[in-house]
Amino acid sequence: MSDAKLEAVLARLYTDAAFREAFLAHPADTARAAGLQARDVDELARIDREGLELAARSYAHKRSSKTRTAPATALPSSAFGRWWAALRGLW
Amino acid sequence: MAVEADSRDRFGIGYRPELLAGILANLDRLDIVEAVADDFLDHGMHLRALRTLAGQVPLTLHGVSLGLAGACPVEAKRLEAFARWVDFVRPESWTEHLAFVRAGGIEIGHLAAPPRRPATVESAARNVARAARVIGAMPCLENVATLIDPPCSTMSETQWVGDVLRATGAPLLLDLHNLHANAHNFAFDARTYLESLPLHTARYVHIAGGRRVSLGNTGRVRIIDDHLHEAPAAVFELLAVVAERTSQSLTVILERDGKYPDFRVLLDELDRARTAVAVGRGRRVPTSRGVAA
Amino acid sequence: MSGLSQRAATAVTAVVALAGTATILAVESLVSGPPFLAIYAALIAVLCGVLRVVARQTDPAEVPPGQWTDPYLLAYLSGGPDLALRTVALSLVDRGLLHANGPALSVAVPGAAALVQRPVEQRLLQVVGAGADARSILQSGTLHDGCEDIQRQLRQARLIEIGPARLGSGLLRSGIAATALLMVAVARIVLAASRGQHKIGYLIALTLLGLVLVFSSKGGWSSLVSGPSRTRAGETLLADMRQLFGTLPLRAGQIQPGGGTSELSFLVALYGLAAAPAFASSTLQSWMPPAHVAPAGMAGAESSSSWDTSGSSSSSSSSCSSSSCSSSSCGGGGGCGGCGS
Repeated sequence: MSDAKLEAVLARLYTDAAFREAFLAHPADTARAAGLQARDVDELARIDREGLELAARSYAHKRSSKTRTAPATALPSSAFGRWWAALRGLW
Repeated sequence: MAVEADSRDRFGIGYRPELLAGILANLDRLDIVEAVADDFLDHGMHLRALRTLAGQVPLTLHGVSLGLAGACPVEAKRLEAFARWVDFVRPESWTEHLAFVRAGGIEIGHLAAPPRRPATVESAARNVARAARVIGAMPCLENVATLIDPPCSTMSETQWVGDVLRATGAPLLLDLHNLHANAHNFAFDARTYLESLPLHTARYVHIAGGRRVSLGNTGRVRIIDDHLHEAPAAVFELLAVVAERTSQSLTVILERDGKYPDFRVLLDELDRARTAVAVGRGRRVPTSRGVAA
Repeated sequence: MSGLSQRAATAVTAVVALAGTATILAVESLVSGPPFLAIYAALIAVLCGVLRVVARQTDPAEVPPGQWTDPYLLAYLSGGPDLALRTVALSLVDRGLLHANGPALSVAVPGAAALVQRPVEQRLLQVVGAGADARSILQSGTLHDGCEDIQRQLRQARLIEIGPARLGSGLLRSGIAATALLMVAVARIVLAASRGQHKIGYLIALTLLGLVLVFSSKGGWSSLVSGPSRTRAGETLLADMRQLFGTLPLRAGQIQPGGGTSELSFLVALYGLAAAPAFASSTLQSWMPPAHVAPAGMAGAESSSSWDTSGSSSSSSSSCSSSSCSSSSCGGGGGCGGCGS
């Protein structure tokens, strides 16, 4: 599952500033240490650095602007939950 | 001989609380409303309210967090939750992005373009098929804008998107500003992209605006798809091209996420879209059997 | 359960009452004292529960099909004809068709009644004519009659109901339950008397309590309310519309006078007069009857200057100038695809 590992590394690059800094300083070593295959290590070393910084900033902004609240009306997921909701609806 | 514009084309707008008064007061000029599914959980808004809205105007449910194009299978509980929302709200359709949003236990926070290669076409196809099975309907799949050219890619965007659409059989939600931004940012021609895409699969079209940012001292500029500005002329030109090259009806949805102008400005933008589609339809050349190409 | 007809609801109540009564009468002679009172209390609880459940099932909560987006209709649903008429007047002033100088209303555009399509707007403009006092005409039966269309729409959709419409069935069910309780109580008293037992005080008290409870259950006493009241579907619609509008009350300060946007109408319709932005609140206050005390949140009565529709920005009375709950949407300021500001 090299693609899963690659996406995990990308996700970390987009969200982890320290990891990104280490990668930009030593891309091949960092990518190799993350368990990527050789061809991906080479490709990743040629990453669009400007795009990476822009993307990371954008994702950070998105994460901070999302106000996560507990789902007020999460629909019940279990059979018991649906039964209980139906019973409460009767009342 | 030109063919008349397809009268079944529809035009609508994305639901935002700030726009609702304008939406409800102008339902005679709107055919459809798009609601972002995750807003109704992230901000505690009641799904029941969304169902009420769906009773007032045709509604399509737009997902942003399933990560259908990720290499890993989408978690079953996410698909089941989405299925419950769809079942409860009863929209006319649901749509999602060709993106991954999490990997390796990390939530990216938004849509990320996956590396474009055959393996990710296959994983996207598996995820989409599973989602369609669990949710009970095939989603329309949207091309995403990206600020970074996905590394480790072996395919162009148009090849990859086309292969995913062919592998899944899913309809396309063609986001023209995403295309416009990517074409500018990564130096390819948007019209050539459209020519290579299976446009006959397009059901929905997004139009939106963005802004340009300079990259340091390089003088280079990238377009950010921020949905905070009016759609540029290039987007309407692309819309006319799409209308020209398709015979099926299109549903065009205007996306605006902030810096809201007077609602009449947004209606004018939709009118520009209507004009663009009409122009495109008017340029269609009928086949020898009299059916539009 | 998607809904129950009144007849079915009455039948269910009768069956439960009959079954409960028969059961207790069958065991009555075998049980005495506190155990009997416990069984009797259980019967009361069961009957009250059944009354509540069937009453709710005859009053489904789902919003009926149809378009319920008219701010005047929502205003009527929210606050009756008074709020509906004030919303109409406010909208006409904001659109420049009515002139408001404090409580003094006058038609701003000759022939304005011919320029509007809504019957309630036409009626109001006709009544105002060359000049009228808002405080008297907005309370008048003449204008309330102008809301008949709206009331009819709401009633046909069962978003509101007039009390007497529910009176018969609700009271009948309560009466059946009360009869069951009385039958058991009387039978017990007769049995106690035949045995020379005289301690029936607790039984009488429990019976009186039971009678109060069955008649105060939903659909019982409440049916005696004579004016229109919202059904559960009406409550649902109102709650959902308020949800969909999100932070509209917080954005009241951003609504421009004379902008002609429908936000002002929806704001007042859904959240009441007290939610009106500053440029409208003093005018609205001057329309209230003289003895009226301004609800909390409304600006105090300022000088009765005419409504400033010159387009100058209003002073914001809202503490929040931007939505505190901006939607994430496809972008939330970022757009689909990971782009952001």
